Amino acid sequence: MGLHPLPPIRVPGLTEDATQIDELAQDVRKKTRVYFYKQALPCLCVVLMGGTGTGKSTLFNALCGAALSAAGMERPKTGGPIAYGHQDCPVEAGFPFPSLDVVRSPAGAAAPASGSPAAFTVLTHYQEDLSHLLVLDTPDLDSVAAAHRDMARDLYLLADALIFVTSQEKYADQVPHRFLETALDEVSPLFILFNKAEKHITDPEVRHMLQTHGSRLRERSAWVIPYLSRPTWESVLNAPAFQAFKTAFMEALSKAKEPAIRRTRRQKLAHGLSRDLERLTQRIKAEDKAATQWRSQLETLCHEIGQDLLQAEKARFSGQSREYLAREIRRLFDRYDVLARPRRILKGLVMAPLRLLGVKPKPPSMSKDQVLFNVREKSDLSMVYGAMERLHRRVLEELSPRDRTSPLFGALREPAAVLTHTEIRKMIYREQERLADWLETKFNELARGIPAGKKMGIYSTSLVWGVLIVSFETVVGGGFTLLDAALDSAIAPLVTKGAVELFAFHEIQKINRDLARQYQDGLLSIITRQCRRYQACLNNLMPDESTLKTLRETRLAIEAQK
Amino acid sequence: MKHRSFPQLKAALEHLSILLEDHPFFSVSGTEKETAMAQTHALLRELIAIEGRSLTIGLLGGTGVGKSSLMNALAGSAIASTSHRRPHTDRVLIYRHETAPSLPDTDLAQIPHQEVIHRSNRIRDILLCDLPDFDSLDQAHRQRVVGFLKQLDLLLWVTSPEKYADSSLYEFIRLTTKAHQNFYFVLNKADLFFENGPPEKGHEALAAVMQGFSDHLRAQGIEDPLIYMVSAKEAMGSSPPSPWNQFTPFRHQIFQQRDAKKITAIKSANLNVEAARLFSLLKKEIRNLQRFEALLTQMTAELNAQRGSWTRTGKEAIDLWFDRYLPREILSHSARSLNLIGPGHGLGLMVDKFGKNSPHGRAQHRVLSHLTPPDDVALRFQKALERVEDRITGRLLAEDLPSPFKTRLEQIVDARKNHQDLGERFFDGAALLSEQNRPVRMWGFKTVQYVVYAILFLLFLLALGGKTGWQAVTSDPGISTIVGLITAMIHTLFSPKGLAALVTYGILNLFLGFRFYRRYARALDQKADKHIRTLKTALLAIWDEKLTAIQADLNELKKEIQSRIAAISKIEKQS
Repeated sequence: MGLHPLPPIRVPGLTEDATQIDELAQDVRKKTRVYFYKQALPCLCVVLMGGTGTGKSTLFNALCGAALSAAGMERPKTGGPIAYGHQDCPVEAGFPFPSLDVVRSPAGAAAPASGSPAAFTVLTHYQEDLSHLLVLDTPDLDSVAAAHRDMARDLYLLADALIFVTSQEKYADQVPHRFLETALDEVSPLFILFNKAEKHITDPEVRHMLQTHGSRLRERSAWVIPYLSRPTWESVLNAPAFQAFKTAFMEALSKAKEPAIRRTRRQKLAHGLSRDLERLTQRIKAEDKAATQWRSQLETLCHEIGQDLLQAEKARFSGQSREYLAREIRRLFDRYDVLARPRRILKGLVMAPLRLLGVKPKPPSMSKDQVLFNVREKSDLSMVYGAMERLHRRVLEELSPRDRTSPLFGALREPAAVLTHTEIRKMIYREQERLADWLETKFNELARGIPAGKKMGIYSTSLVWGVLIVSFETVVGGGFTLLDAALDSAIAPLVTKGAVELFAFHEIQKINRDLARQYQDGLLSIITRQCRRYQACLNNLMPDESTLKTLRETRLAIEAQK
Repeated sequence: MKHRSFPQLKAALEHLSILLEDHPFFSVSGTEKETAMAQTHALLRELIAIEGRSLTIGLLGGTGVGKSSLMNALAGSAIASTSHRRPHTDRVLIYRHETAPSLPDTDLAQIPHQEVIHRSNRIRDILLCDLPDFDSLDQAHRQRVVGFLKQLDLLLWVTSPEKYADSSLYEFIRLTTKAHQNFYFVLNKADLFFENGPPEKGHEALAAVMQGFSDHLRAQGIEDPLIYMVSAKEAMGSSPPSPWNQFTPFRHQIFQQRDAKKITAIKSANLNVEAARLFSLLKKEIRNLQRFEALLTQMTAELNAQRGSWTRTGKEAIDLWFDRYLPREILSHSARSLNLIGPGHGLGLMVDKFGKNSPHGRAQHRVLSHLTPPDDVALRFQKALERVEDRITGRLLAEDLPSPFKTRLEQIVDARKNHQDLGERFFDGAALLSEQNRPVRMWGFKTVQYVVYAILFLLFLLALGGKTGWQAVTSDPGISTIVGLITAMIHTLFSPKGLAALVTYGILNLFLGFRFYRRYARALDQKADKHIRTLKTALLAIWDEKLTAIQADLNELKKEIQSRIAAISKIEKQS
């Protein structure tokens, strides 16, 4: 078959049913393998099942007509599956249970087998009348060993026909009983053997017993095998009740009826499998839907926290007085020695001829690094840290699944899910650097526009740079709403109306606006980054793209063959 | 699990009940705690009541293992029906001797039961309870049977060669909270081993089954299971029992004479097992408390590391508060004319009246009303407090500690409460300082002013009197000379010379008044600066104190947790 095997299914665990997905997927995998195995297997599987001590092995031996499976008092006796099949039956081809190795040996060559938990023991024969059957003896359904119970259930999947063995001690037991209930719906032909019956127990009585315990036995009857004090396979075989059963058995599973049985069973299997696939698909889709909702909730939360941060940053600086700004600006322009204007004009006059000769005015005295250093000194990151901590708290409070076994629960609590302070600082610095670069470029563009021939040339470029730095500091400090004030404070007290024109006031204003917007975006980008981390937590846990596709394909392939 | 004797168990349970009552329990919710408390009390009551009670023995087994025939064999007469079809699959059959008291009705209300009165004297002192087959019970019913097990002291687990490996037997054993030493395992129908084939084969099979059975039981944690291989059928028969049939020692074991002490030991051993679950609560609590303690240690350290940023936030906010909302002038310009006299006083009054500043009364009022931080300043304090809360709560959530821990911690880090508290402290602190800033009377400064003005006036008088007039008065002091001096002064005053002196005097007065006003204003300014500095420092100290207080609260909580761990560990070790 060209089908992809179903990959391991990851889910974040947002829905309540999520815990069952893995189990269901394993079940589906197993059933798919069984389905295709049986598709190719040319013989019918007859499985003997029942509780501990019901005498399955003895009946198996009697049915096959040889001491194949060891029977005895110790429980559990049969530790692994024992099959009796024709030499030519290709049991190994595509065997669906990877934990079992198919081991072949000719029947009767060795002592009765007890089976091993890691092997599928096939005892081969050349009996033509049984060539279309593979008879299986299984471990106890209700064994104290969990591995036996699971194995019995796995082997049940192979069954085209079932022989359910119960006994006087066992008929009322819950576990085998419940099993019989399901099997009644799923497998046909199904034979119920009531083994070890005391003499006074008659057929109607058995039926009554089983019915009072809820078995919907309908018209189907049980074969009552009487209690034998020496239950060897020969004595069982010779019992008339067993003979009657065997005749009925061979009749029901005659070669002529084989195709019909196979077809019904395949349809049942396909039906069950596609129902399971559908259920699995539904659960995965439910997870997917929950994940979409989760994402949008996260988005809203991040947006909220982001707006909150901007508000806080705005509030932080809108309180800042104009006096404070004016002080800062004065301090800044003192550095440029703005008040020594005549000296500057003089210097400008001296420089004018040189400029005409092609000597460029000196770049502003403050380097970009220095500006950045100042800004970093001033900027307070605690607001950003605070916002991130709030985001983390809210995510854990509102978006973490309640179930602590859910994968997402753990993933959100991984240290790697959260940006560290160092990472945040680095990001902010990188953002500031980017802004400073951008500002420098803008300034250079602007400086080129300022008429170089005027005496005010050098002075004005310095001043423009100063204004830009003040706005940069104001913005990065968080005071984006104060930009106009900053601009007024920076320019109005120092220059005349004419000079304002010269400074390309509008351009500066525009640059500042861009600056503020970019800075806000920068802050939000950090929150977005964190948001993406949380999303990654979820996305890493989402099922592969191919999962649903594989599920759909498997389902289609099975339905096509139905 | 520890084996506690009767008094040990009693003491441990009493401790547990005190511990549950008096202190918060973090690992369990309120209702769970209530349940645990009720269970502890119930166990204590049962423990006290067990002295002097007779033994109750329960027979448990799957369908068809021969419980009834075993019962009959024990009783020595057919007291139970041995039909292969059970008459009442869901009832407990209580076999009671006609002279024995029946079980109290309250204990039986949960489960359908039927008393069978017998006259078998061999089992007079013992109540035998035949329980429903556990392998055919539905879930709800099973719970009720498990509930009934409380009444039983000794449990006889009956099984058969067919059934001893059924998972249902072991599942039911797991459901049972009883002391394992009170379990007896009976493999009935041992005759099946011997009915076909030679006895050696039978013995072999019996030994193998015995081994397998005890292995299965050991896998369930029952260390030395007491297993009896019996055949009730054979014991009831007339022939003497086969050598392999352990029925006689089994019956002897069950019906041995037990003194009161032994019975108490059996019963308290069972209660011990029930109590173990309660004591496991303590272990869980200790584990959680330890995790919480580690978290607190980490949190206080982290807060310490944040102190720099905390102080900085506070300083910035306080600076903003003063720069924007408490202009210095409000403080410095209050009571401008208080310590000035003469021309200086007049100047002060004029500045107050015509100057741009508001009258002092209102200024002082404004200062007081602004001692609560304005909204934008408050927001910054609040953000810092919220950050602490978010950080700590986030860590707690990440650690996934039970919610009572969160509630307890929120009492300390609750940002809103802390913020409110901070506002009150600011108000109190600043109000206290404002009181100290009341204008004071500067007597020295006033005296200097008086003296200077007096000297100036004297000089003015000297100038008016003229040299001759004064000389006459000093050489010959008398009424006539003084009158002469005064008339000379008046005369001079209205002369051009006197007018010049008057103008000079006036100018000098004005000059001095201005000087004094300036000096006084400067002094006030300095004082205001100093006052603002003190205020800022005080407010910053209050802000820093808040962090210290949070840390101190966390430390105190840590100490509380530590002492709690110690107290619980002590009881946990005891129990």
